[in-house]
Amino acid sequence: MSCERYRDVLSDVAAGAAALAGVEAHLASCAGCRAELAALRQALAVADDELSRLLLAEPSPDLAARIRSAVAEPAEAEPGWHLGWGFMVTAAVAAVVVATVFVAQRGPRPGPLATVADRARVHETPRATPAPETVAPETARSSQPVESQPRVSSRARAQRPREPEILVPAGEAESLLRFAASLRRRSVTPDSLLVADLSAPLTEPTVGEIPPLAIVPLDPTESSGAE
Amino acid sequence: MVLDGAMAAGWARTVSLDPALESEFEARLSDSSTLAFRVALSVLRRREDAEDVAQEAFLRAHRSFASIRDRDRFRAWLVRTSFRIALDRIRGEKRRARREDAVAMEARVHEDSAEDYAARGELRARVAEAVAALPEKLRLVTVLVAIEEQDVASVARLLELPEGTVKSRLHRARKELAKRLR
Repeated sequence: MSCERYRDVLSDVAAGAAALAGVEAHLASCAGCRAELAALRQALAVADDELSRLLLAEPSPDLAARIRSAVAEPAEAEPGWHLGWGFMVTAAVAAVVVATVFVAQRGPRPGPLATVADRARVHETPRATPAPETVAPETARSSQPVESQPRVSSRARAQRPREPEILVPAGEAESLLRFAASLRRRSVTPDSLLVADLSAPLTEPTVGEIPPLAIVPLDPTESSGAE
Repeated sequence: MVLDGAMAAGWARTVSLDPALESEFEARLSDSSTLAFRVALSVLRRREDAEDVAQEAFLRAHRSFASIRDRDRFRAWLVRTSFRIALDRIRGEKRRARREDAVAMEARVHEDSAEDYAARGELRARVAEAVAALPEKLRLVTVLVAIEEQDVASVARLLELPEGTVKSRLHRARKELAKRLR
């Protein structure tokens, strides 16, 4: 059993480590461990002999010439490199296509009406009399307390088309809705709008001629019903 | 089209060095091609494969020669690269062999082994296997010490390591070899 303790130490000694006094004493009294150490040293000697054969190994005389020629010659295109560029170009084209499809699926951006609404939000002023006309039932709904409104998930809100909002002069909501409806029917084109007499002199409107404005949500469903 | 033209001209692979660098590269080639060959041979054990690896290592060296032109640095780089290419190659062979018919692989191994036994004896074949089974760091030190004729300082320069680290690794490698071969 005591020899087991020296097993690891013996391989250390065989590999070149100095044997401690205790190990020396054990080896002096144990023939088995002496034989084990000799066997380990013999195995390493064979290993050294085998490895030293690498020193005798010489390459072919033409190896240097082959290397010179390989270095000097333009090599064939490396497939990996070529594939890499091809892959990058294909990936770029695919990315553009995917982005285009994604943008197209999101639908057209809100038109001029929404733009007007955005501006109105920035320059919102205290509401003046007369009170703004109710253009769409959404207006009434949106004025309800938050607690009474049905819960809508943020995802659903994100997917729901944004309700267009527009500044509507008092008394002109109806005509504006008709105009929007006619736009949808494409009965009004940009060219058909150019009917104003551009040669007429421009007159500066006075403040009193412009009725106060108000922000009124425009419900698309309502507008189609007004046709 | 522009890309294809450049590649047809070998732009992707060859690098032209200025005459001074080219002359230094030639000196390194004469000086160290055998070193690269022997390092590769220690892994692959087939002369033709070892020469292919040496050639590939020098091709790579030529591409980045400006940064490794110093002799010691070049030899250190070459040893590491040759060793790495050889290991990659033998691992690739093993992967391919695993994919192929296992029976065919058995036959090939048996054939190699028989050849080895006839040429070097059973114990020598075991030595080769034991060296191959060492961890990479220990294996490289073991091989280089043999190639550099037991000159630990030279191996330390090749590996860009302190001599103490080389001695320590060598001792661990020899201890491991002794255990495996016993």
